Amino acid sequence: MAGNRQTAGSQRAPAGFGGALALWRLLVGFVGGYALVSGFVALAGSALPLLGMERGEALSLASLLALFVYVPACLFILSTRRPWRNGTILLMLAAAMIAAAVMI
Amino acid sequence: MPRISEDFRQAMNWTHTWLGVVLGIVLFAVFWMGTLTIFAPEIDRWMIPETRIAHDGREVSYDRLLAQLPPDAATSDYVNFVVPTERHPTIGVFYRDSQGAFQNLLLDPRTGAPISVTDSHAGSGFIYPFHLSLTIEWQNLGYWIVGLAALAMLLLLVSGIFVHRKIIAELFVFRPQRKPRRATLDLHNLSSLVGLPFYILMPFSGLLIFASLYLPWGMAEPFGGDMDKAEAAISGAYDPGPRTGRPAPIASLDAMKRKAEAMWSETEGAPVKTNILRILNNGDESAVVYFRNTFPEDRVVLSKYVAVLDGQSGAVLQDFVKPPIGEASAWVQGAHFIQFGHWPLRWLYFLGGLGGCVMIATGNLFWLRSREGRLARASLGYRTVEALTIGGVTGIIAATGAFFVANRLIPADAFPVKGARADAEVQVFWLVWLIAFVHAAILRERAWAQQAWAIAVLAIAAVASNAVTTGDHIGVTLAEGEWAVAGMDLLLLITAGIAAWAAIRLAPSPMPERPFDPMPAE
Repeated sequence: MAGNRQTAGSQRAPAGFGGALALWRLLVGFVGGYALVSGFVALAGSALPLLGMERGEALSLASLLALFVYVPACLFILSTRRPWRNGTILLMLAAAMIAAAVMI
Repeated sequence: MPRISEDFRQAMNWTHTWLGVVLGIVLFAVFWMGTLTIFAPEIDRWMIPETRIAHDGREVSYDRLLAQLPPDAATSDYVNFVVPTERHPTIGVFYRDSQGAFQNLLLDPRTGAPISVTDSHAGSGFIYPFHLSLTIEWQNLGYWIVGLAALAMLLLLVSGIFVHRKIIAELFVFRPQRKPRRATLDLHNLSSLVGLPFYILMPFSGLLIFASLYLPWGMAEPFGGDMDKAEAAISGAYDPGPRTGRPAPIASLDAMKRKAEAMWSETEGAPVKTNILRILNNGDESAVVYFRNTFPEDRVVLSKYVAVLDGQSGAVLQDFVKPPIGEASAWVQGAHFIQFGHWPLRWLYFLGGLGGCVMIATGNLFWLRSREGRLARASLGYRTVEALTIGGVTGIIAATGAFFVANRLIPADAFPVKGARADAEVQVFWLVWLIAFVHAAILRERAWAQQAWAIAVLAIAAVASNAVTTGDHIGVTLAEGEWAVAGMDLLLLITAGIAAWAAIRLAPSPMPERPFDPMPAE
């Protein structure tokens, strides 16, 4: 999958970007990334107050950092050589963060 | 820097190409309207001539203004005053009437009387909301489209950096005499790199401003799912609860305003002024008065101070000062709002916004140019992107021009219902934009020159119709120092000049079918 180094023109999708795989990358990158960033903000907003930070401040910090999570996560899923495995890991991480935020 | 693999570069190229093609036109529309929003108050002066009032900085008595409001404001649960400034010389009043509908009035600061104004959404009521939401209100869909475009822009900027190999060199390369495709790419790279920090700041801060809209669950969850509590902690929002039903007169607003400002000035160590004065549950025992320092003249930070005073006793119920991280966030957001009093910086933002428009338009053009040599020119995909690019670039500019002209030419009494005339101006905008897309789909590249001519004609017509309908032609406004109107007219004339020049340059010359020559996109 990743070894295919044909010099694909800009017209043709490069290796690893055919039909289902491209759809998976886009879905996990954007929708999964959204779940991840929601979980991140909720978790940071819930957990940092346990360390003594004011809750509103924790949320301000989390929202300032949100795009530093979302943008790299999305680009990572769009470019990784192992989209199935890494996409699944991202989704599990998002679910874990959401669950942790709800429990705290 | 670690070596970037060819696979990664190809993935970034794919991402850059397709995000750009799919969302480029939305991004252009948001950038175009955002660029105009920088001067929204000046556009308001131009489109609503009755508000061309000189701001003399006089003290306004809000006690007197409140007494002069229509009777149902006296028992309204929401009366909001916007303090006049040099760029907003009228006093804005926004209140909920006895039917529950919001009423919007503009008061003359000299008399306190409501001004009968041209029925127009103008800059603050159409161009600004279009920048935020494309004015698609249903289910906040427009906000989500703009948010997705802003996220895409950040992805485009990062992927764009990886697509290109010679970043520093590209800052110094522009070869307008080369083949159009090469020159387009040069201009795309140049405009992208020159404004890169600005282009990163804009979508980043724009998304941050709407964090609680875009992340409703994540932002509310730490407060047990209660967004009101989150807003109260972050921005000092205050809820006085329901009316008690026991009437009570409101104490002096002016005295409370002085008290709030004295409190803030002591904390800040410099004078801090009120921008927003809001009475909640007016005329009731539960009444409170809310003061906010939204747009300080000499600070980037927004709404650092919020004070809430009891409506009868004037006792301080809440003295909110943004805590450090909240203040840092408010600074980033303030860098997007550009309400500080700094004209050179405002013009720099304007140029940055136009640079963004060039970056987005040339990106789409390059997509087209790098495909036109192949047989793709006849394909549905190519024709769609072509029509969207032409209609999305020259089309939206022409539609904006038509919006201005409609504002001056639709008679004041054309519609019996209040608001209908304002909506008609907006309908002219959408209609002209739609026509531009159809025109581009039919005429293809010949549409560029024709739409550029349309822009030039509409811009001249706007200047002429302002002179005829208001008498404030450029000679008058320059002599009287009415800079908002003069600036708008001058920019329209410059636009007309550039559009006419472009139209002449774009005039279709018999183009031989260019053979395809491969060129890497670097």
